[in-house]
Parts: sequence; C-alpha cells; structure tokens
Amino acid sequence: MKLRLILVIWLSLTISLSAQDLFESAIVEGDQLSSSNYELNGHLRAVIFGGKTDNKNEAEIKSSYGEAGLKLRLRQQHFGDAFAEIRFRKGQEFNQSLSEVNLREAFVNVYLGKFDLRIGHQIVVWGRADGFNPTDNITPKNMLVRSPDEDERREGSFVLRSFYNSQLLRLEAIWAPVFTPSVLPIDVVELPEGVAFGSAHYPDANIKNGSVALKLNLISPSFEASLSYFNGYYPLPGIDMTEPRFSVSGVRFELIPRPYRMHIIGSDFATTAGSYGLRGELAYRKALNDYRKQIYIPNPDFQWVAGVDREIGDFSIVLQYIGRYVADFTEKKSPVNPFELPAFEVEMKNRLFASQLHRLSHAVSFRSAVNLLHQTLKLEFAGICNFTTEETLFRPKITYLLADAMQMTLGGEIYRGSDDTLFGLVDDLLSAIYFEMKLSF
Amino acid sequence: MKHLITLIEIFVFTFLSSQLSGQDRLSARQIADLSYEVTRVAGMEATATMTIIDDKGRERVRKTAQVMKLYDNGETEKRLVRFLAPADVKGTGLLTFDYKTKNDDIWLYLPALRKTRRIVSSEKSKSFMGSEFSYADMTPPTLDDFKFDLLGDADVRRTACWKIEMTAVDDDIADENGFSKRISFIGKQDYMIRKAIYYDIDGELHKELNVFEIKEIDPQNHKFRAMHLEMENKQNGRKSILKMEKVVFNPNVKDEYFSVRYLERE
Repeated sequence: MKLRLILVIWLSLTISLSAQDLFESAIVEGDQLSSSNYELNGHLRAVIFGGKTDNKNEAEIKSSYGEAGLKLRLRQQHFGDAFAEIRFRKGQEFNQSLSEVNLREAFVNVYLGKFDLRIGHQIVVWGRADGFNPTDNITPKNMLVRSPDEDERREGSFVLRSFYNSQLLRLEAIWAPVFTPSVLPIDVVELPEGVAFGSAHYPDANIKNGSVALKLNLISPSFEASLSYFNGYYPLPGIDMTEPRFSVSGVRFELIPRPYRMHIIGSDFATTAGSYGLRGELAYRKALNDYRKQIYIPNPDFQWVAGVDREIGDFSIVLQYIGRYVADFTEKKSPVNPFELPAFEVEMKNRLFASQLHRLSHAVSFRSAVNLLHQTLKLEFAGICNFTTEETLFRPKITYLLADAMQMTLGGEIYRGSDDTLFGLVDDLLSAIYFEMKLSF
Repeated sequence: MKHLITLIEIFVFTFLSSQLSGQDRLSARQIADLSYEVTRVAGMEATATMTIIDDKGRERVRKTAQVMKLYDNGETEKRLVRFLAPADVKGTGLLTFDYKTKNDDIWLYLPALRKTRRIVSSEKSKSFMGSEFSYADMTPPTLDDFKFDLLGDADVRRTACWKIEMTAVDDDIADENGFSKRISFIGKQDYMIRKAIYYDIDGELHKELNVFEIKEIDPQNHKFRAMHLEMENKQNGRKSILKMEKVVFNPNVKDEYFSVRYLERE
C-alpha cells in the first residue's frame, strides 16, 4: 500500500513536472530534427572577401572560407535550458591558412521563480543604441573576423550572469572572473623595423582580477531605460611599450598589450513618439589607475549616442548622432628630442585606438534598408561619418533569399580616412567587397 | 395561474421576435462591432503555418507559436509570437501590446543580435512575413477609423452573410492600413468574416480573403477563431494560406509570457 502511494505521488509529480503549455511545447516540437527536448540547428556557408593589396593598386583575396556552425539547445521543462554554438572554419585569411574550431558560446540557464541564472561561455550585449554602444563592455570583440554579419565579431567569455525580475524592473548582476581580450586589427598591421609585439600582460585568473557589472532596467509598456555600472578590465587592452634601446642602427622596443581596469557608469533608453522610435545611450569611463602616468591608459571620457528611427512601408532608417568628450585632454606635439619619439608615437596610437585624438568629437551613423520582392530582396546601406577626424565607413549590402533559409549576400566594407586615423590605418587591410552563400537548417 | 403562464409565453415570444427582428435591423457599424467582439478571446495559445505561394507556384513556409491574453477589461490584447521555421528566423520573437485606442507597443527579439529592440508600430500596411497578409490584416482594425455601410445580404459557401463596406475615414488611415475600402461578408449566425475584398489606395481591386474554417474556441462566451484563411492578391497572382494547426482556449495563460524576459528565452 505504501509502495503504491509512493508510486502514485511519483507519477503525479512526473506528470506535473513535464506538463507544458501548448506555446512552450510548440517551441520544442517546432524543430523537425528533434523528437525530444533538444534542438539542433545550424548553418553552412561559404564566404569570399576581395580587396586591394597594401599600398598597391592590385586586387587580392583577403579571405575565403567555408564554415559549418552547429547550435544545440537542451530544455528541461521550465527549470532551465542550455545552449552551445560551435563553428568549424576552413580556408585562408590574411594570406595565411585558416583552420579553426571555435566554441562561440556554451552556457546553462536556470530559472528560479523571479531569479534567472546564466553561467558559462557567453556573449553579453548591452545598450539600446544601434551598433554604437558605450555601455556594451562586458564581452570582447574580434575585429579581425570577416563576415557580412557585424554580430559575428562578438566573442564569448566565461560569465556568471544573474537577473532578478519584477513587473517593471529587471536587475542584472554580472561577474566575469577571467579576462578575455578584444582583438584589434593592430595584430596584423606591419610594424616599423626595430618594433615588435611582445608578450601580452594579461591578468591571471586570480579572483581579484575579475570584472563585475550591475544593470537596473526599467521596462514599462511605453518607455524603457537602464542604469549600469561596470568595474573591471576593459576588453580592449592598451598598448604599453618596453624601454626603447637606441643604437646606430636605430631604435628597438616591444609593444606590450596591457589591459587596464575601468569604472564605467552608463545609461540608455528607448521609446516611441508617434511614428518615430527614439533611443539614446551614454557612458562615463574612468580608469582606476592614473592615466597621466601610463601611456596605455586612456583619459576619462563621456560618450553619448542619440538616435531616431522610422519605417515608411518597406523602407527603414536609423539615424544617430555620436559624441565623445575627453576629459583632461592635452594636445600633443611631436617631441624635439628624438629619444622621446617612440613613447610619443605609442601614446598617439593608444589615443587613436581609444578614439581620443580630439577633446570633442562628433559623428553620425546611419542604417537604411529597403525590402523588395515580397521581402526576398533586402538592400541595406549603413555607415558612419566622423566629422572631427574625417573618417568614414560605408557598408552597402544586398541580400537575396533564394528559398526559405537559403540566402546569398553581396556587399562591401569601405574604410576611408587619413593615415593618422584608425579607418585610414585599416583601410588597406579591411576594405573589401564580399560574397556569401548561406544555408540554415 | 393559467393566465400567468400564458402571459409569460406571450412575453417570451414577443421578446424573441424583437430580438430576431432586431438582428435584421442591426446597423453596419453594430455588425462590425459584434464581428470584432466575437474574436476577442480571453486567452489563447496556438500554432500556425503560413504558406506563401508566388505566381509561379513556388512555396515558402513559415511556422509560428503564439500566445495571447486580454487585459484591462479587454482594452489591451497582449500577444507573443515565436517563429519556429524557417531556420534562418527560428527563435525570433515579437511581443505586442495591442491597445484599442492608441498605438501598439512592440518589441522584437532577434536571436542573432541577442537583443530586444522596441519598434514603431505605425506601419500596419507592411506585409506580414513576406505574405499577402499585412499586419493590419492580422489584427482587428480600429473601428472608429472607418465608416461602415450595409450593402445587403449574400451567401458565402452556403452561409448567410451581411455584406458590409468599410471605408477609411481619410487618406492617412487608408495609407496606414494599406487599403481604402474593404467589403466584408460577415456570417449572420456567428458574426465571423467569411470573405473580404480589399481595394488599394487608388480604389483598385487588390486582395481577396476567404475563410474556409471557423472554430468556436470558447463556446461559453461564443468566441471564435478563423482556422484556415487564404489571401489572394488579385494584382500579382500570389496567394498566402494561414492555417491554425492547434488552438487552445486558455484564459489563464501565464502573465510571464508577455514580458521582455520571456521574449528573450528562445
């Protein structure tokens, strides 16, 4: 009798635990490949990038690769789920053979009433502005990744992310125990003779080297906003240098990528006004260490983005004004003393990468798109014009859906700027046209 | 006592007669109001398949799971739609707070961007998922934006219907909804649309909607859902078929579905 009672209780528990609403069960059943509580999706794609060779008026294949991506999602009723994405890529890039396996994300979600917990290798995206997000500093980016999709540049890192959810508020707390650096195109830039990259000084896995962040979101039906705080290593390291050694043959020194800790206080919002969408984002950044004594640490700065978006039929446009104010900015002139020249050059490059060449800078970004042929053909034109540094980046793109889940894309990335600007520096390296074919499953 | 029973019988007969003749005397606007009300379900979960057929017969298929619930005494309908197929849009979610008297609040979650984006809701005339259905076709119209005329009676697939003409009050409303005029054939028994003919901004014949299956999903409150709809574009020969595969009436749909938190759970 006792055994029967236990059996009945166990059965009723099992049934109640596995009971799902139609909506939830439909999401699981929606995957044709799975008959259980897991989904397997992914893509296969082939991409070729062509551009000009460095300082020559000749064309070259910048990158060509085939890629298989697999996404696995496991669900455990309403208790949680897990997700992993792995990419296999084979081809050539930057005139080198490319063969890599990349675990882009692998994390587990647990849902405990009003608390959500996500732990694992993951990409965190913050910010309500379009494409330029001063508050988005948790996980790194790899600017060397060549893909028609800008989001492909995002990289995962190990993060513990927790949420407390109430009706209007959502509090997010983040701990990133291990530093994962962003990758800038500097790694493939040709360096002058006598200058080389040395070993990066990245922080070890000591618990004091972790980064923490908090974000309080207000999400009401008509308006949403957030306040955020980040304390940790900024994903993009600065460039430090060894003591220069001067000789009759010239100067020799090494460049050392060295990250620095920052406080970042940020805020963003999004709302609508009639037929217009309004969004904005701002952040104040200040390094924990003295930026006056270290050439690789940027000055404190304010960054802000204010944007408006509008849809007219199948046409959409996002326009944004982007500004930056660098605090305690001092103009730097090339030193008369030649022994001070290496440090000056490295400091100026750091300013370049931190976008701190001017006390105040202004830029405009835009993203326009039109859907044609019953949403099978999409023409997109995006870009940014920095009026202060006179740099521009244009990204035209044409995407055609040959069939469901099968598309081809033709586009380009055109960087323009003088030699002392970031876009000017990477123009030869990254400006390219591309063609991609992709099939998702 | 016998007199009393007779009196009651007379009263009931008189009442029923007035009701029946009253139905015959309903104005076009009253019919439109009732047609709107019979689709206002307290809560519902469904899966649907949209098949888009171009003029050469090529097909594209989209699958969705959706959940909705009425709030504020029916003034607000909250909906969450999750795309299940094709693979390139799988996981995309659309959360809508559909208000009777003001613009909707809409959030779009794109899994590739890992981001929820608030979007503007005014473009109702846009195609829904590349189909012949527009966003305006997928939600009940704001009735005050139109004027209604009763054109007469007609049978649609052996169902007696009212023939109602619905005309946009001005060009802006026509632009917003994507049609200047719609002639609807509304069933006299259930107030459900059986057929509708759309005229574009220039007054030209544009689309024809046919509803082939209707289900009473809340028999207690006489609430209905169209289960099989076909929209044919008379100008380009394309056709879109929307089939509700599973529909479950559930007034106790979980409130947590209608949150950005849930929208971001793929």
